[in-house]
Amino acid sequence: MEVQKPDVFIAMQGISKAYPGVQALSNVDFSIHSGEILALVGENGAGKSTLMRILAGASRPDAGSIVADGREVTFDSTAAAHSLGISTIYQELMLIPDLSVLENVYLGHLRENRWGMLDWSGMRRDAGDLLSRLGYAGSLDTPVCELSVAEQQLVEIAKALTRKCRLLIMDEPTAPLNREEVEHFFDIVRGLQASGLSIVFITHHLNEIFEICHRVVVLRQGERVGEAMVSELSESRLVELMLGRTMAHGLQSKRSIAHLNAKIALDVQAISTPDLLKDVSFSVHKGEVVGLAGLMGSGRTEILRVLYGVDKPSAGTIKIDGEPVMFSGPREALAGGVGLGPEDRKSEGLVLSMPIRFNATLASMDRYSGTFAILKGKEAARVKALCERLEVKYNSIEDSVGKLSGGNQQKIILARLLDADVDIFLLDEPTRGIDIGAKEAIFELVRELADKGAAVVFVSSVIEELLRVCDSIVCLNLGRVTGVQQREDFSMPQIMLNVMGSDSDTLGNSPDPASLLA
Amino acid sequence: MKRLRFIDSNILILASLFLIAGLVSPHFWTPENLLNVARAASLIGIIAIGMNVVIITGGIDLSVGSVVALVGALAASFTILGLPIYATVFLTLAVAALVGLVNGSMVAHLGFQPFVATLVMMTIVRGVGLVYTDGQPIYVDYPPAIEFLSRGELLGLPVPAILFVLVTLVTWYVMRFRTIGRQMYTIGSNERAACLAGVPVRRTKLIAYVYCSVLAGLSGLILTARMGSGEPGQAGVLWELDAIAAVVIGGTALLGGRGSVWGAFVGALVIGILSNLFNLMGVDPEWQNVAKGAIILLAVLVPVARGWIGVNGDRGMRHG
Repeated sequence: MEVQKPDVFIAMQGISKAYPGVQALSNVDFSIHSGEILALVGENGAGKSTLMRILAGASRPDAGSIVADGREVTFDSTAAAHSLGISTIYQELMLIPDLSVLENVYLGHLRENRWGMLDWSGMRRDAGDLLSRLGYAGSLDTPVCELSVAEQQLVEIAKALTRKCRLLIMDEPTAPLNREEVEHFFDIVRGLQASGLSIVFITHHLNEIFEICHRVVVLRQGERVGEAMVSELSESRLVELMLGRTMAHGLQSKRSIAHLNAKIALDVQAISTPDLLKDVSFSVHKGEVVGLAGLMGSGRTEILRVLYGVDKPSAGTIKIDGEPVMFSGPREALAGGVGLGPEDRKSEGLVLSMPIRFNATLASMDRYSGTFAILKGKEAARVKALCERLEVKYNSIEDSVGKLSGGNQQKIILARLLDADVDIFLLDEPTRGIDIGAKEAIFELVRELADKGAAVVFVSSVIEELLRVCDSIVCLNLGRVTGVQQREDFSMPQIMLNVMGSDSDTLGNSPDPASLLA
Repeated sequence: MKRLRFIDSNILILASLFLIAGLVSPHFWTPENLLNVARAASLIGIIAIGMNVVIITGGIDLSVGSVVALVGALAASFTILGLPIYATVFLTLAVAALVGLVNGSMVAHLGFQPFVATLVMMTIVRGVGLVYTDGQPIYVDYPPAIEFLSRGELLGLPVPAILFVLVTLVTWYVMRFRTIGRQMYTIGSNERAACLAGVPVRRTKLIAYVYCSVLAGLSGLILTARMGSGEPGQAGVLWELDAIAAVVIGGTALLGGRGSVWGAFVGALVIGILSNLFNLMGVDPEWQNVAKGAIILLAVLVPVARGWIGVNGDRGMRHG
């Protein structure tokens, strides 16, 4: 992976960008050499995407300059970036599902012949050549919605390459791919690099960084905090760079580990799904909060969906209180004492236009069905009591739930699960998009539930949150469990490594986080 | 507050139409004519109440007009075959329920779009009626008990109108006070959230379609009793659109999740009054359609216009 004496293609200097309330980037220097594969890494919110958006011309910096081939340039549109040969492939692929492969490849830059007619035969020839070199074996006329994600990615790459392309920016390209697809993808990237293209990966995945990248640039909270050649870098050093010294807190609060003597409430044994999960096993005791840590596409949500009976696993067993169960859907799961707080509060969790009262009792309606009518008085009293207990801020329980703040909406979902008397709480990102105060309240509530004997599975993208609230943490990467830690051994760097795809204890058995960062 | 305002707005529309109709044609206000209006409005009205339920769950039912025709043909034929009255009524309504069951299964279990599923059934059911009767109307002398459905009077009120009011009351009660009613609103508002919260989405949808279809069957029985014939080709043509129009005039959102039973009730009356008025005034049938369309547009514009002038015209939060 030795690179020739690099000549700089793009140099970004002193780039700053603020959004209301956030300094997304401050004074970042960032350069890309011709023909190198560069990894841009950092935690969520570190500023990676902002930096790449600026480079793609999709966003303008508040300060700083961009020099391309030694000449200063300004990108006031994505077209300007395109004209310099910079193409970006976003995580959500920008393809039109119903158009064919060929039409998508030339989307936005259709070629005409000298009579002003579309040159389909020329485009077909060139796209065919290109795609077959990329290893796409299918037809050019297939609508892209019928392709696998990996194939769609090839179409995106072909789309970039049919323009003048010197730099390809890719945002977490391997996240949606399976193992073999990732290998194939790496081969393609190596081929592109060999032909002189520069490639930037925004990535969280260690295998991407260490298998194919030459150089790593690390951002943290909008600043460039490190840069290294991959060949001179260890995994632990990388994580240290990403985390900085911010991680020490959160580990202090020692909790009783009484749950370890309790019975196992939920036992997940080797569940797999056709497209993602592979042999996922973990267990949750009564009174225990188990965190699922993982990136997008790691399978967190999918695990909860299987447990809740929404999706069917292709293999594996789920036991509740020792009894094997296989729920046919949410209704059965609720009856079996399992409740889900969905990931997307607004579209899956709540019926926003309906009153708080309706939303809070949606899963426990049977309790309020009288002989002739819904027992409105009983229902209202119960909902008020629940709101009181969860400290929901509201005017009237007849107000639509959409009027509440995000944190209070989340509490209504918890109220619903409480009212449905579930013993196993599956909470998918319950703290996403809510303010600090509400987060604290949710943490406390989750702990309280556990102290009363509930089993909780808690999903969060923010590892610090898991460190605070969980008794143990299951790390996931691409649908596999890559590590499990108990509270007394919690180590942020280790979780980070596992989440990024490194198996087991890379840092040793009893890592002392402080020594790592000393 | 909100509830008051909605009752106001619906009653307001009805009252003003009543007033205008009387001023335009003095004959309108005669008791005889008013009973005629009630009788005529009931046929579409009963269907509109069922349609309203389906639309609240986020669906639509285009097959109701065909159900009217099929039920009429079957009732006529069963009567000629000498089946007892109760068997005739029960069997025809059972066939209507079956159509609803197929509609509902296609939507809830097979995932068809409601428009497509019920369009398919609209065509098939109409066709089945024509095949069954060889495309010919069946003329029949109904026994008094069936004639009573259309021509009878109780306490001086026409039976169809009484049925219409009864159906409205029962539906209002169920939609407003029963669990299943709330579940229908929930499904129409956010089906995914409803499903994840354990609401029995499929079963509830199925019930909505069956209910709508049975009400169309009831309307079909009244119609055939009135005409003394089963008309597989002519009966109920375009009635699905009249029913949808009544629902829309009543302020129910076609997107689902919102709308009131009384809105559909008033909507059906509005359509009934308009047809009656046009007839009294001697308006050409061709122009009647144009005028009807314009008035539907007007009714739909009212809430929009309220938004324009800044009055809180949210007619959405009505449940029941």
